[in-house]
Amino acid sequence: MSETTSHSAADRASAAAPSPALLTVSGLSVRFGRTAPPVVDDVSFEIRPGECLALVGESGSGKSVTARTLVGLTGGDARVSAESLVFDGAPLLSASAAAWRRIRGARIGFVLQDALVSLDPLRTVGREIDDALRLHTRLGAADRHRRVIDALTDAGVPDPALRAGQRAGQLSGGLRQRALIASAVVLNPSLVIADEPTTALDVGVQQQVLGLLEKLRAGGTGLLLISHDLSLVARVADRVAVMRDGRIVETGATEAVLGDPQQEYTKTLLAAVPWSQARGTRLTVEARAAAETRAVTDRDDAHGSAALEITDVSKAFRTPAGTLQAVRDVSLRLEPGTTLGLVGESGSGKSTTARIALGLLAPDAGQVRLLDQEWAPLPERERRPRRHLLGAVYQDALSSFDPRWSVGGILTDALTGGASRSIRRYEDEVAALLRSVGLNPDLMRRRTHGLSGGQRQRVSIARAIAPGPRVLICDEPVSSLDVSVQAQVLDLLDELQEQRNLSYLFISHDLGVIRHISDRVAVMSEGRIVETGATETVFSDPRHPYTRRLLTAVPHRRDLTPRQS
Amino acid sequence: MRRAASAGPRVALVVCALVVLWLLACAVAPGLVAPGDPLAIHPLQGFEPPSLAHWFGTDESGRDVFTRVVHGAGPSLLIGVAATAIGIVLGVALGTLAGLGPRWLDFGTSRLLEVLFAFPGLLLALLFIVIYGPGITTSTVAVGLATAPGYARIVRSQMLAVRGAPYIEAEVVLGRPPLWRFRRSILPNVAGTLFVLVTLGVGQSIVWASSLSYLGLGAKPPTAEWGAMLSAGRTYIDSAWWLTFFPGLVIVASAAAATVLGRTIQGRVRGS
Repeated sequence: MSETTSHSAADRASAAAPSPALLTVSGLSVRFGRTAPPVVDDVSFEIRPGECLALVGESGSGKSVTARTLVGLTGGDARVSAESLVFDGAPLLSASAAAWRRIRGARIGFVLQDALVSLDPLRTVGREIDDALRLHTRLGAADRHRRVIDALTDAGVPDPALRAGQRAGQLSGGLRQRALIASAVVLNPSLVIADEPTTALDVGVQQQVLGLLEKLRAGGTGLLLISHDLSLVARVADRVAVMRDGRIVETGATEAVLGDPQQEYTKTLLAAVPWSQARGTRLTVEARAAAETRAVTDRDDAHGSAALEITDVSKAFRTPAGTLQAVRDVSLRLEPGTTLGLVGESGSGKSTTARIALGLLAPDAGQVRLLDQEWAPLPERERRPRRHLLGAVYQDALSSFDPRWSVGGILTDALTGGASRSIRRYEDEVAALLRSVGLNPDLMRRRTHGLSGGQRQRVSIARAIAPGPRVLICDEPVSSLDVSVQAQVLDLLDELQEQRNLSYLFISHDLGVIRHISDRVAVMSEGRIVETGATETVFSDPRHPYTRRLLTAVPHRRDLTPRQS
Repeated sequence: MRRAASAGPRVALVVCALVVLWLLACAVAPGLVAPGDPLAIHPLQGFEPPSLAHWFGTDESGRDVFTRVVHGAGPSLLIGVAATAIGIVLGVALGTLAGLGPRWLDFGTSRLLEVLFAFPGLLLALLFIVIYGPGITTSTVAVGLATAPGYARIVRSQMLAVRGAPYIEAEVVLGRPPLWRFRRSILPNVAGTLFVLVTLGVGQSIVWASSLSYLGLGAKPPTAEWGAMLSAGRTYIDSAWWLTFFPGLVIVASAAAATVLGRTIQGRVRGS
């Protein structure tokens, strides 16, 4: 280990001269099965000490497989070939399983996306980190403990001594991710591979994790960052490689690639980031060509009746730890034909508010009115005749479909109010519905689990609009989608709103998405609405300290704006 | 996903399917498979070992064991299937009450199930027979009762899982009434898992029903029923092994075949 440390220290000393590459990959191809097309196709790059290379691309582009190949975790049936794959002067391709075990963890740290499943739920976090030390060093128990605490401290975990004694289940998502990073860096590896390290995290925590990565890099560690989040990449990476279908389509310095992209694909990716586009602009190139920028009318006037009105709603949950006040005195007003964005970090009460508005949860106090009529609290039986007026789009579309039904069955059911599921009689209506959400009518005979994420969300939207609702409640509808698919779905929602005069209550933790889609914004924190107003006002002139904090924590949009030349 | 299945499991599957088909043929039309009379006595041909004339040998009264095994398939399988059906119906009823009913009902039903679970199933069946007297009907009902708690537990947990599933919530939002959700969504989704349990359960029920007959609490010895044949042959186990071996073999084969098929279906359902 000391060898590794001195090595990177030497590299730092000679930073002025072009230092030798820490990792050289050239002509790397990975395929699963003899005949299948390669998942990673002729990929080449190198990383120097203290440098951060970002691999960006959509899911399925081969980013993660590339990363796993570099730590020898491709799995049994993968066929890996490369012209050269050299880490710190030693070839990796011919490394034995034993050699891999010496490298992995000790000299190449690997941070996985999902900290919940990557940590053993039955062991304490301290033990988990301690493992690396026990396997790779000869330190005594007391020394190891000190190193564990140090690593946790470095990773920004408060109360490290206390946290080291806790299990993964007792930690929040952010703490788990940081604990995982601590276990990856405890041995001072010279290369850290981070696969979507912040994807599951709130912006505040994201910030801390990024700071940690930044610190590692400043200490001379090479960093391979894998992400589909371009604004994150813009802040951290020195160089960017854009991957598509297993190939690197464009590579270069971060500023050059993101500021002045040469490839069509990179431009599409960049344009699809909702942050950089104002309200009313289509995100996808095709849609933008078709529809001219939509006039944003002044919708501030609160005359007439609201589409959805939530008044002084509160809701508390009893938990083993005591009473949790999830929502306190929340009031929202959704004007007809507009979008109200509800933004906040996870746990701020957004989803509880949505569930109350949907009539799935009875509020402890306060009331909800739908189209100027009582909605909640009301017995479900009295709500049912008006259920068709209110639709919902969920984050996880797949699990919102009955797994036994085909796409057509789901839509027929929604069209007929549950009377029929036989596609044959309603084939034309279902086809029209699929076309209205931009899907091929041929999909109606398919099962939902065979669809892509974007297709599923479109089916989910089609189901929501089938009964002819006036109001849609969208709870994180694009959060699990790739950025270009996200753009298409947001465009679709915009289009449908215009065509059908729908009103949206749009919930998201993603400020970029909220800014793009909303006419008005309500910011939620700890169960309260802390600020509400017209979107541009809130974003350009936030009043509440929490809103300001939220906005500064977001990777800044100027990083992404193409430079005007 | 492992795609390349080795030849072993597939051969086993084919063998099991053949066994089940043969058993079904025996149960539906025993006369075609073995034309003789299972109860016909030939006192002079007693205790003949297996031969070409008597494939499975003959018993103490000279009855052909093969014919009796074939004709025994009907009652044995019927007991197995009927017992499983009773168990499933009771299990679904109890499980639905516990899974979908109010909390106090769930509490009560769950405690009752736990008490029943603490009893070995066969003991529970014995208790029932002690009260209602031995016989084919009582032993069938007894086996059904004894297996019901197991089904009820699984149905309850499935009901809870499906009831809380996002797609059920989506149906609430679409305005579907509770009975509709139960009939069109919850029950069919739970039934998928139940189907697998049934195929697994039939094998188990055959063994249990045979055990009861063996103990003299089910079918009575002259009847051609596998458990009863085992029981009758036990006396001569030293001198005439075929009296117990062949009925035992079909019990094992039928239970194993039903189980293997059940597991395969289970795998298919999960894999899709």
